[in-house]
Amino acid sequence: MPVTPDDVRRVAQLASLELDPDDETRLVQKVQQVVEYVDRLQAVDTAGIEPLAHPYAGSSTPMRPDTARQGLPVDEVLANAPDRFGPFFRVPRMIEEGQDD
Amino acid sequence: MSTPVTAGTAVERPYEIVVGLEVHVELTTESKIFCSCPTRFGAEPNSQVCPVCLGLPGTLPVLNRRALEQAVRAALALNCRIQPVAKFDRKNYHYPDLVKGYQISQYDLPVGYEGWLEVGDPANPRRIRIRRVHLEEDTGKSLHDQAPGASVVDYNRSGIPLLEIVSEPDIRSAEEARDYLMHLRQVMLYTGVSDARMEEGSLRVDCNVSVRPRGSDVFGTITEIKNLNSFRSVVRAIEYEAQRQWEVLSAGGTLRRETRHWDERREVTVALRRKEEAHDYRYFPDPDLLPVPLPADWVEEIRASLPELPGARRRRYVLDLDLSVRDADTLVGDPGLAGYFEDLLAAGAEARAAASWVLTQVLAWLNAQGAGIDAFPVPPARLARLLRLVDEGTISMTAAKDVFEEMVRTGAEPDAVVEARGLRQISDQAALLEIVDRVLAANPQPVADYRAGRQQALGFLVGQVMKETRGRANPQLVNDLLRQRLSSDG
Amino acid sequence: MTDRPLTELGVVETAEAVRRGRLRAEEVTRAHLDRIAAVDGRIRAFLHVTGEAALARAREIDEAVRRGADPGPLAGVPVAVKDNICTRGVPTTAASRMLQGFVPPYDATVIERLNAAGAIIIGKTNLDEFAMGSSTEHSAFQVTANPWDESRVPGGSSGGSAAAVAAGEAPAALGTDTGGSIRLPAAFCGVTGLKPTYGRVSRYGAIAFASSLDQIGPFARDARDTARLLAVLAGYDQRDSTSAQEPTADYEGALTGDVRGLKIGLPAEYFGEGVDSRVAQAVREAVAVLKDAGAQVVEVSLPYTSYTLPVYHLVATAEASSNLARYDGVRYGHRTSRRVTSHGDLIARSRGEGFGPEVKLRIILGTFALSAGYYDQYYGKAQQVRRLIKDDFERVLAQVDLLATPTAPTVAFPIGERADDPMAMYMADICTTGANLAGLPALSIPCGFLDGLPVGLQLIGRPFDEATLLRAADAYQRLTDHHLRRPALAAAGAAGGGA
Repeated sequence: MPVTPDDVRRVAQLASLELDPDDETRLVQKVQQVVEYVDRLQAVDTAGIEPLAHPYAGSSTPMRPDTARQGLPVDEVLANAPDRFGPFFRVPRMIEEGQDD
Repeated sequence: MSTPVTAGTAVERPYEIVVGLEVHVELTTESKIFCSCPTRFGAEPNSQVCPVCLGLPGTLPVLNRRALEQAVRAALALNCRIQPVAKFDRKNYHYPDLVKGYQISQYDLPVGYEGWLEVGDPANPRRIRIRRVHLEEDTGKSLHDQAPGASVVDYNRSGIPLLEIVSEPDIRSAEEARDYLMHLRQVMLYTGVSDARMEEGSLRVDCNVSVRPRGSDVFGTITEIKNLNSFRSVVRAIEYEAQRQWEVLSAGGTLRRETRHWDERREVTVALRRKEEAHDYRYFPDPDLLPVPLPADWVEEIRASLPELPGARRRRYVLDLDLSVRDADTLVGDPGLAGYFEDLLAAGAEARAAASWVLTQVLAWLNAQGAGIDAFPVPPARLARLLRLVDEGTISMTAAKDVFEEMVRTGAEPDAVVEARGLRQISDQAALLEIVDRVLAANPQPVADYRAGRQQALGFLVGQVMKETRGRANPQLVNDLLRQRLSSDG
Repeated sequence: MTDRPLTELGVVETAEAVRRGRLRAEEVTRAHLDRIAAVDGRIRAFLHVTGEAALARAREIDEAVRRGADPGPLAGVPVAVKDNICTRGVPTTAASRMLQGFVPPYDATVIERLNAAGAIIIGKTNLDEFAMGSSTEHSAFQVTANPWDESRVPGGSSGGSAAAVAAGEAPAALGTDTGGSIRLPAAFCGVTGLKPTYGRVSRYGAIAFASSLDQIGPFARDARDTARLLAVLAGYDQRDSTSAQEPTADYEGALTGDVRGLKIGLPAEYFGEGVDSRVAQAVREAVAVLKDAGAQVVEVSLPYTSYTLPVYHLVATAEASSNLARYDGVRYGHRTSRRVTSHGDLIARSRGEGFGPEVKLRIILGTFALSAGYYDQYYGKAQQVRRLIKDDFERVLAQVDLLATPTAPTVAFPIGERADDPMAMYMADICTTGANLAGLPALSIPCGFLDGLPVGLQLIGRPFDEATLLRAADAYQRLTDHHLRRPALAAAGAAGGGA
């Protein structure tokens, strides 16, 4: 299927990825190339084939007992933070979404 | 816009309210759903996080067995069918309080589905269908009043197990929504899966509201109301929103499917600024977790371990024990109190008297002390004995209240208090007659008043007899004797 | 103990000598640090060298030996670690600007296991950003050179690890393999590289690219050293829900040199279109060596082979788009320094600045494949064909013990040749992605040289049967000497000195 600049913009927005105009032009063309390539799958008859999400889909997820253990000291939690405020991570003020919390 | 109508006028409305509720409850586990961090409420910011619930690169989730068990427990208590094999999916979106850019949730194979919860009068209940019950992880918490000009994030809540309970749009009034929430909360408390405290955020509600002309069976445009932090605001918000929608429609306008925010202070709903793009969560199976089989024998074990549920209990109280719906609701609404009541019954107390004592004397004491039933000093068997003394006529109700107070204060046995204070009721007719006659002789004016037709004079005379006996006279007998004397000696 | 330079010693040789007190871990470590200092300016395999910490750790090992303790099966063995595997207190960047300066507060499970076995982490190696690539040219920081020809790529994405082992900078290294990222660079650099069965080695601490495909695995110079490393790495980890509870095998004990009766399948589809005929020929000759040693060789067919690459790209990018969503500039990693007015802009801009072009391309593709209206057509379809591909392998591996194919369709290509052409770059993986999609173990060993560049033989086995792969590889290496050849660079560098 053909890929348009609008498609790439829409998807970039879903992915929270800001693209500069150069990025966008380059990506439209490359995405188009790859999509054309993967489109060959459409020729495979998959009627009634169960999707495989995992190499060992027959198995079941292991579980852990409900016992609590102290996590990281707060300084280690914040050690990699680009911006912090006291014991918190700081981000620009959430205006409209602030109400949405 | 006009003031929203109040609840009382609901019947006269030309429209019907249609509500579906999405409720999130935090499960009471020791540790988080996918890591071992503690879940204690109110800890110092970012003090209960680890690489996993912080979403650090390279970390992986491992499911907490207890969280899964709690989810099954709640789903069973909500009469759901249980998925033979559940799975976890990723719900993708970006928000600063969401550590991985996706939330681990359940999409097409939730733990429970097709359940129901009964609301209203147990003699004639309404069944609200439950579409699904699924398990997911909570997000961190954004705070907007900590740092000047910025928001800050605390991830202690990130990864706390959450149950999302989605009802069908079967709710038809704001009161019914409250009723549903109250019942749902009780189920959580009875099954022990959540402490369901709205004020601490361990129970959160989103309302999907629409209206339609009375008699119509077509669904209208839905708005979703968020930021509801009490049952009261749920009621007010639904009332307000329904009226608003009806006014828009009545004026020939059209509604948008949108999310609205409940402004607690102004008591209005406000549309949130709409995003350019509709949400597209791109759910897909989480490859970090494998399928989650819920074997039938394990599910049945959990079902067998469920306590009597609040719905069944309410039905029994009203239909079998003949309590009022109001009393039944109050008792059922407080599992501790209800447990105490059940113990009284087991100790042989009569149901209505027991309910009355629990809901007046016991509750008054607890309220005055600000204590829970666990702190109540009188064991149920001892209180049951006091009730028996009243029931048998050994002591009067008035005396019983005095005895109760002493029991609470000193922990004494009721019989000992009755003996020590000489409170045994005087039911000896001859002895009482003597006193009655003395009182009549000493109070000629009230006697004359009574005979002149002033009934209230009798009360004064009864009071005098009680005073003479220091409250020990059997009041019914005193009444009878006084009437007898006053009519015969005319 | 030997007159060979310490940087020429293998894993088993080094560990046994250190354990017996015949060699000090400190001198081994110092020899490798010297070697890195001498050649890495040209090879650029390392993003971070842990020099002092490695020496301190080596002295601990030596002290343990002096006390009479056994430091473990990797005693004193320097190991280079791909920089998408988390190391506590040591920068871990995934070769991305997004994670520049990120220092994990925890160790990956494989790092804990290496440490417990007496290994010495000597540094972190270069890769394609977030392991997305086949040449290591997509690193945000540097381009690694192939030690056999510095104008050529080392393969990718674990190019730094493969090059480090080939160049004598470390006797062993860790890589990750999502679609061939261990095997391809092993082939291009002429070393042995193993991608274990999915679930054999814990992924905890490996920065996720595509969770249902990723596996950590070892590089070394021969099958025996690889077996020693696998024995340390393999096993169930309760921190990884996808790690397998299958028992591990005695991998070194399996190296009997005997391949009599072993059934080897040659899938026709791996020797045809797109594969350099000289490479195909070298692989057939290698298989003939095993046949002469008593193995049976049969032609087999994997009809869905031509769909492996498209399925791989849909599955891997879809999972990656979600796995890389956590890089938002809030808790760690790159945050834009430009002014933003909302957290939405903060996230989108930080991601736009932090990710390189190939990563962006894959995030876009993966997001697209999962998006409403396209899910069934792309992601869903890929998952269905993935089952057909797995069924293909299962059917064939019921008839043969292992499959032999080229690892890569060509030898190492020149730096820059494919860097801006994604489809050409992706073709380097046509022989490797099948094992990831089916979750099978696969390894690559050198089986010859073309124009002075190594050719890789890939062996693919049954689930959890790494032992058979290693036995065949070891048997081959007993009969041949391709794995003993060292690049001229290595021969020139005399660092290390005999002990």
